[in-house]
Amino acid sequence: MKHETENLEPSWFERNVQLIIVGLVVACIGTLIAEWICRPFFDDHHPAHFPIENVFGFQAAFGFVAFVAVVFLGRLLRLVIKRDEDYYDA
Amino acid sequence: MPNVPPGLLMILGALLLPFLGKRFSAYGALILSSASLAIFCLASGEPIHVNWFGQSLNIVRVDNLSFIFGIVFHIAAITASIYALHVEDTKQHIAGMIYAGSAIAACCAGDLITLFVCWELTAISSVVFVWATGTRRSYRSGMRYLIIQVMSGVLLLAGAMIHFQQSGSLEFSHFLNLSPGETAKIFDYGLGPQLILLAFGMKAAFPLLHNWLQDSYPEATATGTVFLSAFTTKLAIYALIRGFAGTEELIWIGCAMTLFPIVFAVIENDLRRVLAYSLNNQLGFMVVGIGIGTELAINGTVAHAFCHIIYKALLFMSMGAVLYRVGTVKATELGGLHKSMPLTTIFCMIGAGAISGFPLLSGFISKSMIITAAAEQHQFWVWVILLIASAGVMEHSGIKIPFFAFFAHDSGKRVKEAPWNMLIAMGVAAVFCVGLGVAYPLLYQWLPYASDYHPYTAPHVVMQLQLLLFAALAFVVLMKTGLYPAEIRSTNLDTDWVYRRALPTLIQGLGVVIAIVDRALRFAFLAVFRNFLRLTERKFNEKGTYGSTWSTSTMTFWATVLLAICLVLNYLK
Repeated sequence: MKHETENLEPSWFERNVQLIIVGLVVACIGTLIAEWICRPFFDDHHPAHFPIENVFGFQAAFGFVAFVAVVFLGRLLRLVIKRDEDYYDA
Repeated sequence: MPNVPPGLLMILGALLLPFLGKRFSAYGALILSSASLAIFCLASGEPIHVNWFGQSLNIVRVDNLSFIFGIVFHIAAITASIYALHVEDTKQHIAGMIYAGSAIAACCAGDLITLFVCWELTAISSVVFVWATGTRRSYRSGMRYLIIQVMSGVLLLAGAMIHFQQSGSLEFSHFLNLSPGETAKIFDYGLGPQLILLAFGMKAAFPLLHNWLQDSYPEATATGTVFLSAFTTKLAIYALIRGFAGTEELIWIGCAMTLFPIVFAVIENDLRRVLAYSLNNQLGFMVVGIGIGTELAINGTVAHAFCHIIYKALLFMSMGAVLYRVGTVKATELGGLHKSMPLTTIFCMIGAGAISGFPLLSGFISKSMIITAAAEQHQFWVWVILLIASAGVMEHSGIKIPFFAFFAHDSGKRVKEAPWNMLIAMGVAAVFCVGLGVAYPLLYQWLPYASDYHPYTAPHVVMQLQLLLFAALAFVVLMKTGLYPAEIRSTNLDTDWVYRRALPTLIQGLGVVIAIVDRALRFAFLAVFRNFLRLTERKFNEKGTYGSTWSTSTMTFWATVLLAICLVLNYLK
């Protein structure tokens, strides 16, 4: 397959990576603020099934920790199961 | 309109596609699948009974559950046909129509024999997509796929026979006649249904029975994988709902299915294989729902299967477009494609958002039903595992797929945007992803049970956004600190190692051992035999004990001794 390799100037995304990250952080803080505002009304619509759901920012912390845990488990797993690309063909 | 067996038009019509020639068979397939959808919606839906060897078989049974699966299978077939319009390989179009048609017929089958026939037909037709790649690697992968799929069919038939012996019925309904909310254990079923559960489990990619999926789907053609992703596994999900809803063990099997693929997906380099792991993880959510078995859980499972077929097809289509244009979907070779394939990038991100469960997209309104159903049953650990799995989905499908294909470091590859038909197909799927997320009551009204579930409550939206955005934040932190594992060209071992490496090595080793023992035995036997020959030869030659010529006096002496003994014995009498 033939590929052109010119036109390497950075795109909007590449020029604004920092901005996107800042936007993400702002959005994260936004969800925490939203929870803080909404929490008094939560039980009317969405009764918590487990006590831990009433901890402020539970899902935020859970999402962060679970993501990191999954990635680190992946790194550990790689130590065990990684082989050469042509392992089965050789 | 009188009833027509659903899917039959596609199966029979497929046989006419060769007459349309290479160029137009693709359009023929699109017309067939569209016409089949029209017939399916307009038909009366009355059962059709056929007599077969003295048994009345209910070959068509369209109820709430069959209907919604029939609809989404048709949508998938039409979308995949549009996606494959540029393909000038008639055998793939024939296979696609037979495959989709038999999957539709299977989900409308009212008895186990019809189900078995359709079950095997999906297996045999779908392997064409793997073989169509035309490499030795894909041939071998297809062979493994076919063996496992046919084995599942054989188990289904054996289970059906035993079930018929024990119960006298071939009807395909819940094997314990449980109502929603009632539960049972695997050992409450007879041997027949247990075998059938194993057959379904193979197709639904239960843990340890899963690896045919990750092995074969990434080896299929760009368009073939889109077909493959929609039917086989969701047919198994349908069959599990029908026959085994409320089986408690399925909850934990499903939990395992949601967890282990997300770890494998982190380190997989082939992005279509990442999607195959992701598919396995999504099936886990559905299997949990089937195990819980309440009305909400079954509704959630059906809704999730519906949404999942479409967003997973969208993700496979976007990766198929990359494969078609770039020639590879290895993360190590890709990056920066958003510059040259902007529309594909947007469609892929919509699919990624839908599978992750972002509000206003389809995954949000279906996955949450299953998680809520688990919470309502006070299954705390199941609920926790499903939350971990949700963060895991965000990792591999929400971020990894679009990021490493279209962003990350610029690979410098500048290709053309995907062909027009691929873009239309992806556009249709993307519209469904958004449409189902926004106009969710349209989907909810088709679900098997009436439901008053509302996904868009403030707590649910806020909590879900927290989970997803903080997971994304974790990705940024790991990338910035260099802790995120780099993409590496590699093969990662999975259970296929057992039958691709361990067993062949074991059998080879066993062969060597047998050869050694065999040689030793032959050698020992020959040595003994040679000694015997040598001894015989020595004893019987002219100087040996038996072979030599003895003198007459010796004989006279012994004759005299003999006579003397006789004489003595005579006196003693």
